Amino acid sequence: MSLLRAEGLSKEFGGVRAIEALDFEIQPGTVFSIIGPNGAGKTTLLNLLTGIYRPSAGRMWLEGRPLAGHAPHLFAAAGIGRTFQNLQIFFNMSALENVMAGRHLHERCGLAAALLRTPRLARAERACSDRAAELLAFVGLAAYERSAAEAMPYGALKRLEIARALAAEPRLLLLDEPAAGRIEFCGEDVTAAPPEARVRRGMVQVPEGRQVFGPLSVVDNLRLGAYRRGRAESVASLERVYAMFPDLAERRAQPAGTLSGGQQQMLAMGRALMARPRLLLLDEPSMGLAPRLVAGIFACIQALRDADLALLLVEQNARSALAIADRGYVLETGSIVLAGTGAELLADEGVRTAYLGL
Amino acid sequence: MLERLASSRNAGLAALAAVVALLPLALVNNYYYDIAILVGLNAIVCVGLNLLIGYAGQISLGHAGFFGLGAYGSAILTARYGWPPLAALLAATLAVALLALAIGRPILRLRGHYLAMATLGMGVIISIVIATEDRYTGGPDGMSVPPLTLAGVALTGERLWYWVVGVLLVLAVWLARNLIDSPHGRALRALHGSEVAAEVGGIDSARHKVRVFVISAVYAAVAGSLAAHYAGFITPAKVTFFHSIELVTMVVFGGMASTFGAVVGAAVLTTLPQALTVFREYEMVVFGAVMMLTMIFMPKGLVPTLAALAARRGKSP
Amino acid sequence: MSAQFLQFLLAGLTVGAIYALVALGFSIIYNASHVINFAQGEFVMVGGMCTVWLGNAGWPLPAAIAAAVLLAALLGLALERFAVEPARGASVVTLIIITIGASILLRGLATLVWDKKLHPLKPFSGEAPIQIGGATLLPQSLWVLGVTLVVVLLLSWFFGRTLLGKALLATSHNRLAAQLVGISVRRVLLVAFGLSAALGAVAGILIAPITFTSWDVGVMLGLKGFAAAVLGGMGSGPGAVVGGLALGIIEAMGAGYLSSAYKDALAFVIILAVLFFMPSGLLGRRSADRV
Repeated sequence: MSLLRAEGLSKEFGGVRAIEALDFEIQPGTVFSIIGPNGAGKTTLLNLLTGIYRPSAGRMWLEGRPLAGHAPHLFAAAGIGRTFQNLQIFFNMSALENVMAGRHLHERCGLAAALLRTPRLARAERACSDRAAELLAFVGLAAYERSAAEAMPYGALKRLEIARALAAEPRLLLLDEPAAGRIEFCGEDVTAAPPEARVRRGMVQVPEGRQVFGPLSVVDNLRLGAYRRGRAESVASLERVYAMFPDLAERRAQPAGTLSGGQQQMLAMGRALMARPRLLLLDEPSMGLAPRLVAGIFACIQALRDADLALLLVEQNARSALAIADRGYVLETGSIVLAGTGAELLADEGVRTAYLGL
Repeated sequence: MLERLASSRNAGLAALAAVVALLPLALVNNYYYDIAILVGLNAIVCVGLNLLIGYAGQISLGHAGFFGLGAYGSAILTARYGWPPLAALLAATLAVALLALAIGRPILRLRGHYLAMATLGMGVIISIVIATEDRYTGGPDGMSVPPLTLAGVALTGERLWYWVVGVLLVLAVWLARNLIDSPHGRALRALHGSEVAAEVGGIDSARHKVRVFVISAVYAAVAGSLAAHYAGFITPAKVTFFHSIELVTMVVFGGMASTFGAVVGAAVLTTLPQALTVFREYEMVVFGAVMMLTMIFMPKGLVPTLAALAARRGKSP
Repeated sequence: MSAQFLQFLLAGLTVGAIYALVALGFSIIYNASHVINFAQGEFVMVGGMCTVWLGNAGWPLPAAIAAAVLLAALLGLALERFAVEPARGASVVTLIIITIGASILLRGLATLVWDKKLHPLKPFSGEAPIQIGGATLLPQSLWVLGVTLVVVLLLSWFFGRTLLGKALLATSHNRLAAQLVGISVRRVLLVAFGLSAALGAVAGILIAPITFTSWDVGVMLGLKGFAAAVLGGMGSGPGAVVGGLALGIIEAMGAGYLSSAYKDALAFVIILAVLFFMPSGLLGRRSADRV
């Protein structure tokens, strides 16, 4: 007998059909994957399967018993557990308490016993917290047992939700985008890392609009770029930057705010290079610059690439950007619509019409 | 983890018991005892109300109604029908619990402002009924209440009542803390953290909300009965919208989701008007200003804000 | 139509018009900021009390009225600027307590600046009752109904035909889009609070000759205005008017035919009934929530 069966499942929101006549079966002991782009209805389906939405049509059975109604806690009692795409962690509790809360269905506790804190309740609480600790270890969060949920990193919270869902001992576990929303840099999850942590790991940004420290001198701007590094290394890097940008060397004592646009761009790049990045992120480096200067900037970027630095370039100047890109992605309303090598994208009809004005 | 929870809880209870036991050394005359008793009674209501507002994340602007029903229930049964006071207290409390149960389900389906207004409406209706049915309640002038008797002995006098209220306050706090640390309390906090995740984890949010609503109503009703017997008198002034607001302000000022915060809030905001008797005319202005400033600058309440400051001070190198 | 019924109807319409004005104030603020302003009733009080006070100090009635409305509007601006704005983004409980605190503060100030006594205001055009079909109508009632009608017409002109009014409506529908077209949400909030306060003051001035005014007259009027707004649909202008008139008539009929002692409770029973069974009110927007 199948674990979950759905027949003709549909959901409508005020005339918009989010889900239309779905039929499927999930067997016990299997992994059933549902894939699709944003807006395809995946989360709506999960909401139907956990009783958060009532279906407009169709029926569902769990282990042969019909699932009906509109009470998520009854669906949970039947044996369905889930995690959420947008974290629904209990931020007012610790990690352990989150998982213990997940065990609610397995805690029989009368009101009187709760109010009087009977020895039997105390034993049950200990058993519950032991089981919760086991689950935390199972998902690799043993170190966070006593942490407040609000202090935990994003990746850990994703796993905490899984531990919490497992605590109810569900027959069917629904995972909504468990791996989504992660940023991994050199194998490390930096999704929730603050900026200074990312700089330390080697991700450095040259911001849009340069954002130099106007009242400070060029050399001070550069030195601040190496804020997180030692003094000796900083001096060596300074020489390298001056070699790359002679204009900056000439004006090293000048206040950064008095530099021209092109020079400020060089300063911003130099400042970022002072941090010895492994990945340099450039945000609109050519913005507001005369064509001759733009060429200079892009030559610089190429030189850096040739010196084995990885660069992520965000640019409106599609032609110049794609000309030097090894790989390019076209973003439209938040989704990647096109990907390919720089040459491929330059030759693409759509790109040519939309971005190159041809 | 549980050991740490347990020890901080026990430490807090012990501290409260110590304060209750030692405070009489500072109370020089009956007037001060009277204030202490008022603080204790308000604190009992606030501990219950805090379960609803701070832990479960709901709101009630009508809890003076439950307080009043407890008070008038006891008053009417003892004064007009000659019931023994303890039986009257139990009966009145039971009646309030049943009312809260009946009205809780539809009311707690509402959220935010609508929940606030519905509880407000409930409280005002109760106060109007009490003020209007003067055959039973004595109307706007109130009615007198015979003293509380324990095994035939009448409890009168501030000093005796201080101990009654003090012991009951410690008991009330103990019960509340037990509830919070139990699976029921966890379910409540889960509801507050994320209602949908709690539901999906098997927690029947409607049932838990109603349950904590009833418990907080019971706390208020018991305190009301005791207040009526202590004062020997009860008027509708104790059942007004303003009294409900005072109670909510005590909880919010002292600290939401902090049982001891509720006690502190009750203590500060009960004694403040007394301290301001000299400036009686300014009482409303000061009260209103306190409410606004607290919410603007210290939205978590006094005790949690101080606790956070202390934690930060302890962490800085 | 029996004379008694007509009498109740006219009384109900009169007080209903007042409720409508107060309800409009609630709805305007709610639309702009999603805050229920518990201090709305206090603007009603300020309108009446200030007019009385200035009148007693020798000001001619029109000047006193104008000054009172202006004072209320300024208080509304102050409330937004010093109480609501700093708490932007706070939880519902926090905002409720802030506006309740403001209402207590205003009442306290009223007792200090004025006093705790009940004050009459002279009716605008005499006290000789008018006979209509066996029922008597006070001339002041005509003022109430007339001015309310004019105010409602002005408001529909304001919201329907002026750019500022449309900006307020736009902000209530989609705050982000409003900001992106350059509407200053801060200014919209200030206008909303000032306007609502002025409406409340007008209501207080109109009703003062009939029911007298005092430092705490705002509490009940505010709560009943709120009940009217909920009944008609919170956030709906026409709903506020319909709700106000309906509440006034229900109250008058209830007091006349059922029990006058429980007249005040009716409004709250209505709040509960509407919230339980018909939360979007008579004319409110039914929202289809997408979770």
